[in-house]
Amino acid sequence: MSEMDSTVAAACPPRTAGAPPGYDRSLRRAIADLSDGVRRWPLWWSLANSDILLRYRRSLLGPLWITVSMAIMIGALSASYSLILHVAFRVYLPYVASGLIVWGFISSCIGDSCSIFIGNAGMIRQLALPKSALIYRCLWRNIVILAHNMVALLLCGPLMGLTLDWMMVGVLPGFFLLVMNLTWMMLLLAILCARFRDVMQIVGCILQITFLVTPILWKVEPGSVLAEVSACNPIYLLIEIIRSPLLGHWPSASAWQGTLVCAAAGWAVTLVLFARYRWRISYWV
Amino acid sequence: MAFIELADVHVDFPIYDAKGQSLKANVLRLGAGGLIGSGNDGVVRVDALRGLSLSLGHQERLGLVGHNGAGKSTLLRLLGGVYEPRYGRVTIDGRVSSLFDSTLGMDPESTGRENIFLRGIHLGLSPRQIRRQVADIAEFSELGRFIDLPLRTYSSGMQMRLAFAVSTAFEPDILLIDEGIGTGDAAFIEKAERRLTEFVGKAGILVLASHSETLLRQFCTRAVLMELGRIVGDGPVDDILDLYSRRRSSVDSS
Repeated sequence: MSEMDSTVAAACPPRTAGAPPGYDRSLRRAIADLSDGVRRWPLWWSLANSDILLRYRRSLLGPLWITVSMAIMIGALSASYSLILHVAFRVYLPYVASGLIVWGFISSCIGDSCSIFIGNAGMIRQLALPKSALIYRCLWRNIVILAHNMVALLLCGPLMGLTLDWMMVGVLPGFFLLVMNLTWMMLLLAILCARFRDVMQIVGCILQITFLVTPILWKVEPGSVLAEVSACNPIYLLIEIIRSPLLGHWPSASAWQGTLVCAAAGWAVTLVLFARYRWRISYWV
Repeated sequence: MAFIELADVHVDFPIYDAKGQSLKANVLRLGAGGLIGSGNDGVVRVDALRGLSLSLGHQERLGLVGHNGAGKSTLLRLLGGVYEPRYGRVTIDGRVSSLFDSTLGMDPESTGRENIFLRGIHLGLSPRQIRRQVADIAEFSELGRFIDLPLRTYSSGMQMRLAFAVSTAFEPDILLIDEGIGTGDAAFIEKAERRLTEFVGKAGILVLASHSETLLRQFCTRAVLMELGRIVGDGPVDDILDLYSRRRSSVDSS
């Protein structure tokens, strides 16, 4: 980078005491970035779509691989764990299928978010781009993948004993809340990872552990200690608000409350951090 | 009317080595008695622009001159809205288009036509705006039947022509160019100059960073000489290029 050849000072002394900063740290500017990012939809929409097409270019099944690999995973895990846990396969399969699909969406959103700013350094250093547009690109890519899996789940639903009824419309508010939560998590992690490069490794570890401690492959018995512990697991609540309506029952009120609180608190923290460091991201990547 | 106004602008890059960028280093420093105060946090900083002021009015064609690392690219990126300065004020009025890297937004596997679309949306244009201009761009870039072949079959000059055609097709008010156009052949440079002259005639502002004296003389009327993040000379292109070569030779002989 040619910029780096200039004078290197061990520490940059503040120019003149009280000199006004040239950047804008206001909350309003951070929110404007989020809405300007939405307005750049032609960019993130087509980049996300081409991300998916590129990944499966020249493969026979193309993006259908998303669904096929998920189906293999669900089939294998359901078969083996229904034996290990002594549960009836017919009961267990829809539970695992819906849980794994939602978990796959959450974990790849969070996992991908670590490289959102680092991986797009070239674009960030060349364009006056709202930083949020890159978040939306990653989010949209994963939503498209989720849609593939969801369609497959609903098509195979009758075979697995899932009944298609109006309860399934309950998925929509759940999905909205899930996206509201994931967006702040992704933005927060993208910022942290741009500044601290080991956060990505930490996130990888946490995701693996989360998969095991969250009731995805196993169920909680109401009233047990595990149920009380799981009630404090935001990932569990986020999965519940989508999995429950798929399996034919309404999510508990506490799941709604928990995810709402999580979204509000998360956005509050993320917005403050984003407002403060948004201008610096171009320098970090 | 497009204008650019920079007042006492400072840009610095924090340089984190492997240690500085890891969380461990920060946590350990907290454990060892807290942070040492801001501005003296042990982070190495590169001052890329140091108190730079500049104002550009309509129809100005400015050349940026200076050796590697003088801050030319940083200044262009500041004008393009990539960087916000630590101190100072930047006022830019007008739609900005940039030509920093002819590969931006381009996908080697897609055809020239698809790449017009890709680069266009990177530059912030709507799909409808792009569709209206595709034919013009294809014609201007003179790629003939290559326009329907994948970009990877293009020479670097051809790719440059396509990138230039897209970046200038949408009549920006301010056009920023970093090196680059030197890779076009003589005929294309002539054509590019006509387009730039036409563009500047419509009250646009052009800022071009280049090491090629021919290009600078051809495209620019005014130039600034940059050294270590400061402007050390500002005036007509010929005067500034003379100043630049004098300063170079004095450095060489000393």
